[in-house]
Amino acid sequence: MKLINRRTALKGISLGSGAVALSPFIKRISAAEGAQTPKRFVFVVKSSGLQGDYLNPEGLKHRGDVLVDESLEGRKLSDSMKSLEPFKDKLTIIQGLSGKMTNSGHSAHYGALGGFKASAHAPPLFATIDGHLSETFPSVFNHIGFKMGEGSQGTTFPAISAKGKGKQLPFQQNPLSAFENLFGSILERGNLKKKYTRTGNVLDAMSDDIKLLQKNLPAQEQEKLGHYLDGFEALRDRRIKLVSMQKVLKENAPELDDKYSSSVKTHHLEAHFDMASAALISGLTNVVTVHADDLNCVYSGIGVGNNVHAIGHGAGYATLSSQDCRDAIRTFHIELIAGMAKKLSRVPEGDGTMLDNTIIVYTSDNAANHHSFGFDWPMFLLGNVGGALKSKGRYLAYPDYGTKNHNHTICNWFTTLCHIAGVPQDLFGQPDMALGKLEDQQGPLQELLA
Amino acid sequence: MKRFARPLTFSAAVVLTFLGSVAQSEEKQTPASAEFKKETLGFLTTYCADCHGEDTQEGDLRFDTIGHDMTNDKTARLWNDIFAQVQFSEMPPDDAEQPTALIKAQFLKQVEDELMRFGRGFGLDEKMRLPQYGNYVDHKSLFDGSVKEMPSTPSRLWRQRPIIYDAVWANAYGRAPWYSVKIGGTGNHLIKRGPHKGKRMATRYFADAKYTNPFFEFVHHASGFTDYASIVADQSSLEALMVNAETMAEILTHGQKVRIVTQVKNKGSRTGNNEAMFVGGVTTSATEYRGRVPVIFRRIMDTEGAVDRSDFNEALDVAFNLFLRRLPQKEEYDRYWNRVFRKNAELGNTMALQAVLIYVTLSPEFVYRMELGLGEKDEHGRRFLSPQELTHAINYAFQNKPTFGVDEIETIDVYTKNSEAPIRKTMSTPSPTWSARHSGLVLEMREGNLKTREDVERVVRKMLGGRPDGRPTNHNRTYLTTANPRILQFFREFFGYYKAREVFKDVDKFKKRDGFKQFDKGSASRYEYDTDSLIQHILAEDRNVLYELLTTDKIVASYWNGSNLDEQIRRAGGKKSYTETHHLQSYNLDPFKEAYDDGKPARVLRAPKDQRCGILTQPSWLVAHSGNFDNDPVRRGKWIREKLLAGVVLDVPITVNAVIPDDEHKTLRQRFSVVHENECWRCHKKMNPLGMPFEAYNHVGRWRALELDKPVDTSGGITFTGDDSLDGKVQGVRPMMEKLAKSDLVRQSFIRHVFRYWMGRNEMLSDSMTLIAMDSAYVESGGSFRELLVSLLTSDSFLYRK
Repeated sequence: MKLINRRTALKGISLGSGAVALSPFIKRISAAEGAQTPKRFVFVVKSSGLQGDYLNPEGLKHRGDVLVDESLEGRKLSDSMKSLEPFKDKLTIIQGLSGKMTNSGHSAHYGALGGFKASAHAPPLFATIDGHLSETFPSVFNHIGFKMGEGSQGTTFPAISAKGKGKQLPFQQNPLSAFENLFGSILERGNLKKKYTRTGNVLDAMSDDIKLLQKNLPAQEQEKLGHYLDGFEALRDRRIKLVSMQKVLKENAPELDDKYSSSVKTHHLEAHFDMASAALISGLTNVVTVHADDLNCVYSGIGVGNNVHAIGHGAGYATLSSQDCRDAIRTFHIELIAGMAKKLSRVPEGDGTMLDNTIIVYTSDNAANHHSFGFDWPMFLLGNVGGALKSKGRYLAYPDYGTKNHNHTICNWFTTLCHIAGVPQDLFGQPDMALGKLEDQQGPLQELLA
Repeated sequence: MKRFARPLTFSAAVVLTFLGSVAQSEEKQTPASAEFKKETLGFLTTYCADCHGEDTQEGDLRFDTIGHDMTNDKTARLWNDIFAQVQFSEMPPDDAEQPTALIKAQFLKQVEDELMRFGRGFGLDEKMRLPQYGNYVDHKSLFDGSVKEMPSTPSRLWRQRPIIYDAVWANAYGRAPWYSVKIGGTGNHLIKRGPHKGKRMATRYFADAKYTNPFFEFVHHASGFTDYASIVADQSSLEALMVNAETMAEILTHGQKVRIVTQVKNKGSRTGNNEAMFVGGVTTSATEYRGRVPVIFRRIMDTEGAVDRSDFNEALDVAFNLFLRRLPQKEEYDRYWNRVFRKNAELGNTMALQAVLIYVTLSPEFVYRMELGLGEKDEHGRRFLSPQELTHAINYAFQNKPTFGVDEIETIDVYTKNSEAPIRKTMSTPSPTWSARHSGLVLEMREGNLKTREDVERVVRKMLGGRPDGRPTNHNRTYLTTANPRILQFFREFFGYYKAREVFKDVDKFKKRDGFKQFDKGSASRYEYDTDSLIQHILAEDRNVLYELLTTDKIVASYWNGSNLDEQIRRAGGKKSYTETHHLQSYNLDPFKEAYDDGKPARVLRAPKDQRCGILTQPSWLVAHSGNFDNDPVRRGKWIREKLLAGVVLDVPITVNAVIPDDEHKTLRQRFSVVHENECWRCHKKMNPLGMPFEAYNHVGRWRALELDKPVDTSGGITFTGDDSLDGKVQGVRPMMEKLAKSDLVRQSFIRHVFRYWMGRNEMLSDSMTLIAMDSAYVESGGSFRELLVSLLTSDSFLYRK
């Protein structure tokens, strides 16, 4: 048996449970030595599947039995992706990754960003990639989630993102309360301002009360309460930071216009994208997930008056066929993404722009179809994270599931993201048993690493 | 006693840690960073540089260029890790040059001082309080009677158990309801007025739980225990608590928001089971409120201008009643009035009232159960738990429900509309969602019957004395429905068999594989209930419990009622296929030979002779401790080492790429021979010999006589226990388990785990008298688990705080 170093040891399947216990140790140390470049990750996740055929540029096809690796240069993007023409050199379209390890159907829930079996009703088994990255690249807000939905709720738990086992991440649904949370410090009046003030009062009073209580406790228990106190102080710090950031927040915060109180849900989604861009630009966070819709959503703002589920089942609306509706929704999402990219590309950073250090991932919570089996999980990426992602406009279609060359899952993609992020790890999520042993399924998609 | 050489060193650390942090509280002379660098350089150069220096960087760690600035997060973390590695003798590795105890202690002190100076404490105290470090306390000293200290538990806070938070929160404040109203299709209700008069209406109310439990469940693989007093609530707990609190405050002041989705059918529209299945027709959505709001809250909200102090006090009573389940004290009325309510009054009375509610559910008392010892002090300086503390402690020992219920609160219904009957019925609420009864213990306490050790013994015996619940569990009646769910939960967490369902098996391939045909995707869950049921049976008998747990050949198939129905045989594709795929095959039993028909749900059966021997041979345990494609003798051996032999196996692996080679012509045992090489064997010799006898089963837990067409080799060994009568080679599972089951060490190791689980902390040397008393109670009662528990719950460790 060959003696090798610890990091390599982790790549293999190690004996006993001890190996598993070591990994956080190594991870922390690796992170400690990691690079300092700000990296940002945006995940836009739609429901009802993302139809791969409608992402293919002219003349390119997926579902073959060999890898298709082509440049996008000189190729015409598909109709729904037209808005991305100005960013073609930063675009990567990926087809053919499988996600059979998830529970698909109508939605893979946490599985879509985590690569494991999940349901809406059970706590997540592991972290999802966005949650994982948000813990790795903390900021004022480690993670910000937005979710278009019915909108009456301020915060919702759409069962899409988690920062660890049993730790689902909240999503902002109501745009007004999202605004309060993120940009509340710059508000000058109104109910939102009042709530913001109240939270501040509560945090202040509680910190003092905890300190008072601590004095009457034995040393060890003081420390225990100290962790909780730290939580209050961290939130207070965040508020102080937010106050100190008022100038930058005021400069970048979106205008609190009619979209925020509109009854049309697509206006909410537009507001979510505005806030997401503003949060990234003003440095509030490094990781954003937009869960664009769910099966109950109605895109009346773009003229699609039927809900996503009905459309998925073949219903059209007025003169539009079901496919027309799906096209309209996808095009709308991509236009919003293009809008975000445009905003980021106007902010200078280092030698380039903020967009250069960002990656926007557009994918679905349910692979390629309304009812899905996870054979194929289409997605596209915008941005190459300071060159860490090897792409200057690229189309990659992996061999189709079931062909002998298929050995590429969304979990490989998640590990690729970890590598790109500078915190490499070779396992993420669960394996797909039908593809053979675990060791054949780990590691990043080498083609994508610079 | 060579075996315990290392734990002894640790026990010294443990004693220091637990019996006073005198050294820590003294003023420290801390070196400047440059000095720190100088001091530690020698150690790193001598003992670490070979592998972590300029030439070699194992684990990508290089110490000659290491940072020393502890204000840097990452540097401090790295030093914390170095500290832990050296402290637990995981580095330098055994085969490298070792520092003397003095040099090591000096180095550790230097690192500790520097970390502490920058508030980057390494948390060793905290670590030693985690369940996985329990075995570091010296076993012999705990049981040899040499410790004469009077036991007690340090005054402490115990973080809310996640399941208790669920019980308080989920139903009342953790749901996102919506209400589906369908008009024009089928339905029981005939609409009597309005534009849809004469049409039929069907309604359905959905209320999925949608909230995050702020308290994550901590399960360490070594201990398996989920509720430990050393677990803390931190910022992520707080953030979830705050989100939940805001929602709760809205619900208690305005009612629960319900989205009502009305779908009116028209010609050609289709409906389905959920909102989104409706195609065509007209959908409208509206928001209404339902639930009950305390009258006093409404009064405060309706007050214009300043709120009356007596109204506020009444509202605070309600808030405390709902969440802390007690009345406020005088000082608390003042504090909440001045610091919370009045501070927010300028935002409006509703906002201020909500602030009070939010405040209560963020308060330390809501997050942590306080066990300070508020009763009388004895001559040893220990304080008895107060009646209220006792009530909590005993309730939490047995139950997963809150101790105290909610006393009656005057409320009004939020929904007052005169809508169609079914809607009115659903939207109005006769009783509030938060209503909860007090536990029986509360009545005892209120009558003044819960003050002394004798009182505790009486109520504990009463709680344990109910009719033994030997009924099998299943998915509808899980361990949570048993009379004292925390008891069965202990065995689940101790043995860890409930994790069987988390191990993925390639069930599709099993359909054609001999020995695996009985295993389908529901098998692992059924195994879990089988084992639950078997343990319930053993506990109901309550004789030689541990011996039975480790050696019984009884089994329970909780989903089989003894009959083989024709319809099921037909559906399975005939008698042969029915037999081969039957759940009983997991225990190598034939459903036709075992058939009975007495109308009772599931019966205790006997496994074929010499095939099963206790919980460790239940398919649930075997699967829970197996890999995806193979058995896992390492994990099984590690379990025995830690749980039954009070032993320690290093967590950090050696620097070896320990891949077991694939070779379909070799048995797992043969393939495992690679770990007999020096580097691996250093640790594996403590695990593999104990795990190898379980090769008698395939990796889904079915007994086998042959492996690769040859008689399966089930030899193994009990090693390094420090007990010569125990150590030695064994041939097969039963000889090994019989030997273990009769051993003092194993019984005491089990008792240590019982202690840990119920005390929520690791045993300390000062708990020696409690442990010895538990041991005697168990032995003298003929192995009664109840007597063992009574002994613990009436012990000084349980009742006194210091």
